[in-house]
Amino acid sequence: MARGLIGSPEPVATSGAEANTPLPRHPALLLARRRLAQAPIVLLIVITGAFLLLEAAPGDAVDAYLAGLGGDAGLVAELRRRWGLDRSGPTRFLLYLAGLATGDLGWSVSFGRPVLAVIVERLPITLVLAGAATLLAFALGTGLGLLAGARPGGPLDRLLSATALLLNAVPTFWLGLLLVLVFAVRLRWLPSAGIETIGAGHTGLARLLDIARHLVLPTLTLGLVYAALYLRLLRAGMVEAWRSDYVRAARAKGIPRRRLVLRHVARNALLPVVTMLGLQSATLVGGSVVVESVFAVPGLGRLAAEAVTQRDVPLLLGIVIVSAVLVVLVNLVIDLLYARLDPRVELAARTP
Amino acid sequence: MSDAFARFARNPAALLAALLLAALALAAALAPRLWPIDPEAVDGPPLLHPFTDPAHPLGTDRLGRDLLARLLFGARISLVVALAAAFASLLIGSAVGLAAGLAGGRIDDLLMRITDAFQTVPGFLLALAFVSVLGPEAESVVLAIAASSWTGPARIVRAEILSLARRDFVLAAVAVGLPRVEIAWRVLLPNALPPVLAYACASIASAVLIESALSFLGLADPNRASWGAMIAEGRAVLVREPWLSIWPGLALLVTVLAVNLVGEGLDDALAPRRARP
Repeated sequence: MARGLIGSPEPVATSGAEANTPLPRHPALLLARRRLAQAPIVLLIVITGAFLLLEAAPGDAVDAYLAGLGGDAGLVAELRRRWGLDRSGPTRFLLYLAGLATGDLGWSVSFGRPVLAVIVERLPITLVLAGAATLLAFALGTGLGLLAGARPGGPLDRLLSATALLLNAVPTFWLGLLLVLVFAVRLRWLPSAGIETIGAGHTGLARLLDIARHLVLPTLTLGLVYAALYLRLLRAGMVEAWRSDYVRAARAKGIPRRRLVLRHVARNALLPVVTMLGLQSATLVGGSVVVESVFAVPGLGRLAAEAVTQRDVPLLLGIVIVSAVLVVLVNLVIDLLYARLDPRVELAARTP
Repeated sequence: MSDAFARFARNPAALLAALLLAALALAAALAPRLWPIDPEAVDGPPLLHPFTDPAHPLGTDRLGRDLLARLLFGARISLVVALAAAFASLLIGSAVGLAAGLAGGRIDDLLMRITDAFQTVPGFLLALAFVSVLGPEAESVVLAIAASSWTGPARIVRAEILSLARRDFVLAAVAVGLPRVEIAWRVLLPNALPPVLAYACASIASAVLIESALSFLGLADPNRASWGAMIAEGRAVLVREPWLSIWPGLALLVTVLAVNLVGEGLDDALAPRRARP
């Protein structure tokens, strides 16, 4: 059902369009449709903002292009004319939009290559890192959150909540350094930096394992911070649920505690965690900037930090636009997932 | 309000955290008197271990600069930048939320799409983009952090205005014929503020963390000691002298933890008031 929605040519959630859809009118699905309709507007605003920042930055695309090559004033003027940089602001904006439509994100000063090519090269590592960290955070956060929320105020809850409170306040990069100190320097279990062992000549599976070993500490750093967040969120929702009438009623009926906690207390408390998963996708990219810099992982995040130190504004804004597109996509998926998880959808699907 | 204050005072963790923050602010403000050592001056042998020389209780860094002095002066940058950034983000957010909630219709739509757009871009990337265009001065760091964090308060204020607008006392103010500006300023805004205040601590905590991350990456003013930059400096000798990175990290951890605890205390203290009809 999810695919049908995305492919729908009429994504605007008006009542007329809904009548054609044989789907349950679930609020989360309506939300997903509204988001889909708004996505182009939101992205246009992001692009406009990027364009304005690009214009505010010193130097233009020609300066960027010729930075490594050099060129006389005549060449500069000729290129400016050819690329339309001598036109008025609105025309330049339209040219910028037209460029984006064809995948032209501009020219990277520091790499001397198209921005998109540089980004595409670095993106997969960050996707793997962010994906692994999210999985870890979600599994650890909901697992421990379930334990904490099963008996609020109990000794285990106190221990877990205090740990989560600490992790919530820890600077990510510092946590990374501490993990390096413990696991790479003292215990020598794991490598402290990079993405693979240089000069080891691993191939195939051995190379994959080597890369995985290098990604353990960055994933742990990023994952632990978000696990704390999900733990706190799930626990808070469960504390709320314990006080609700339906849990009291279920308790009064004598439902076994295990079943009570899983089916009645935790289930509804899981929904905000899923929403947060989408909201955090944006901050996760931001977090990867710091973590990738600490562990020298050559991903998108480290690329962003490099772009700033190299004053490579076109590259940085290209990263901004690409990650905004990614965040929009992730949130759409989360909205659809939410509709799947919400027990009310099951009901709607069963009743004709 | 005095109820809320009493409730806050009964929360030992929040009270302790508030006292700790007050002490930290005082120590940062009085740093030149409390510990009159120039944080930028080479003052002793390099890489002195902590607790070995009473003249340098926390030891010295790679250049022989006193670590305690640098920590105290670093607190100034961290706290001032974070407070200014949190204040700016609350101000911008409240203004946008108020405008969107009051205007409704197309203006509301436009403002909310802009809010969406700002939330779609990873906050830290946005801060990086602002710093790289504006430069590494403290003012641009403040602006960069504010630009990446005004959306939370904007949503809160807008939601609050929308729910307040349907309440009797607001309808009464409209019925009496009070000018719109006066209703916005004297009726809606004061009533929409408590949730924003409870959010303020979260703003400050995240501003401290963003500032430290920016200075860790070497993107803030390089001429002044800041906790993030100190961790980055200590990193070069992480294996031999981990203390250089551990002290400023602990300072950050304790500060953010205290701000969060105060925020939770405020939240609990203010919440019952919100729940009352």
